[in-house]
Amino acid sequence: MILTNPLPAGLRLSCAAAVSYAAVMDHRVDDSALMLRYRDGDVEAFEALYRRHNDSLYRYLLRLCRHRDTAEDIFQDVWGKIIKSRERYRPTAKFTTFLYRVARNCFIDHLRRNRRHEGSVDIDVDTQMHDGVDAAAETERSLARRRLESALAGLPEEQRDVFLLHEEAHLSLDDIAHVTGVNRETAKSRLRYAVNKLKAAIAAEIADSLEAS
Amino acid sequence: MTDERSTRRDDVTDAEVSKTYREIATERAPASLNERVLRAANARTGHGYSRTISWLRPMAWAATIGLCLAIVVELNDVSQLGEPLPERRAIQPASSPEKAVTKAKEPPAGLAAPLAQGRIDQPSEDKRGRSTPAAATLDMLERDEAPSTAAPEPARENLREYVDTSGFEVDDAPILEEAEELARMRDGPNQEADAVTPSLASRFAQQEAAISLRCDDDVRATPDSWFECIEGLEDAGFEAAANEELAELKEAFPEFEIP
Repeated sequence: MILTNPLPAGLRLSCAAAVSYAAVMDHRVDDSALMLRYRDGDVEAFEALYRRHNDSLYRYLLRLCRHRDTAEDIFQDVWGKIIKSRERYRPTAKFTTFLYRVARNCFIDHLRRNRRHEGSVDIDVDTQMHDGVDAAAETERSLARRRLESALAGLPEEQRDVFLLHEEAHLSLDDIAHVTGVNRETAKSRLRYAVNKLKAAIAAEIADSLEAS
Repeated sequence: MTDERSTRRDDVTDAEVSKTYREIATERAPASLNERVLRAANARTGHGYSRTISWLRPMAWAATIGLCLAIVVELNDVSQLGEPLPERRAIQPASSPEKAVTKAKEPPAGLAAPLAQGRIDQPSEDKRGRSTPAAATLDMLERDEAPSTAAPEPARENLREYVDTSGFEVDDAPILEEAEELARMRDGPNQEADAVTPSLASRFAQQEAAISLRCDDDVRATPDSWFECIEGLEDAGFEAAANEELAELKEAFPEFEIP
């Protein structure tokens, strides 16, 4: 394996060195730079970019759609569009903003096409106990998780969207506003409502368990 | 730095909510999906081509070369068929109609007996035509309007009468077919051109109309101007063109949110 960019010309690396270099590159190189390199034909750059965002995007779509098959369809659609549009890609904004904007558009397109995801929730909440943790505490955490999942599913779509963009994509309020096409204050307001409702859901759970004990 | 400060000022998150969410959000993209996406990315840049279907490239080359050879051979055949016919015997015009008739009724020396018989039988007018290769060739000669080679009218009539052999059977059917084919080739192009020209013209007109219904490249440079152009098409009633443009816009600018 020979890496030519951005190493000095003529410098060749052994396979092991290349792997370690790739690992460093994976953390240091900006997303947009990776995308630009993919545009120029560097498939490894795309793979690095994909590995950075695939899981968070998948979770975002999973909780936004609340239907696993739909989420997977949209997930593929999103990456397909990213791949297709690489020729036109210009790093005018953060890649994450670009990616989630595409994802959101795909989701909206899906909503327009059909509404099969409505009312169908098939996400399994992880309720398994973790090793080495007190059983009672674990049960409490498990209940809290279940309560949060349920409260998240019950949020209005706009609020859930904003919350997920904040938690999964780690976007700032400005970026969330940009992705969702609203002004900053609206985004902030939606996020606050969402967080307050989720907090209340967890708190209610804790209060219930305290009363029970 | 400014971002950090503004984020802190606008911090509307809750640590407990975030922590609990992190605990539940443990799903990972399925390996099959990862594989599919990465394969698609790989295929788009053409890297996987030679590995997976390496035999396809030489196969395509072989097919192309074979096709080219076939076309060349076919063209050679056509050019051979299209070569000028052997020069016709010059037929001297008769000095008077009587002489012409007499001359025409005399078979030339060396003509086969059946041919002569055919002439003597004098078949009816409706039996004439391209029933024999000779008649077909005669038809073809008649259509040839080159003044230097065309025989004078009375002599041509005589020749027809003389060569008309519909009274006897022709065993060599391929000769007849070849003569007919030759006649078709000589006459064909103009007729075909006449038939094709209107359809081509209408197709060009359609293409021109289609071209004028597309947004310019300048307009396509930004999603906003492109979308305005699409709205213009919609307003003008070109729904199909607008939908086509919209699909292209979505593909080119997936991040653009359609209002």
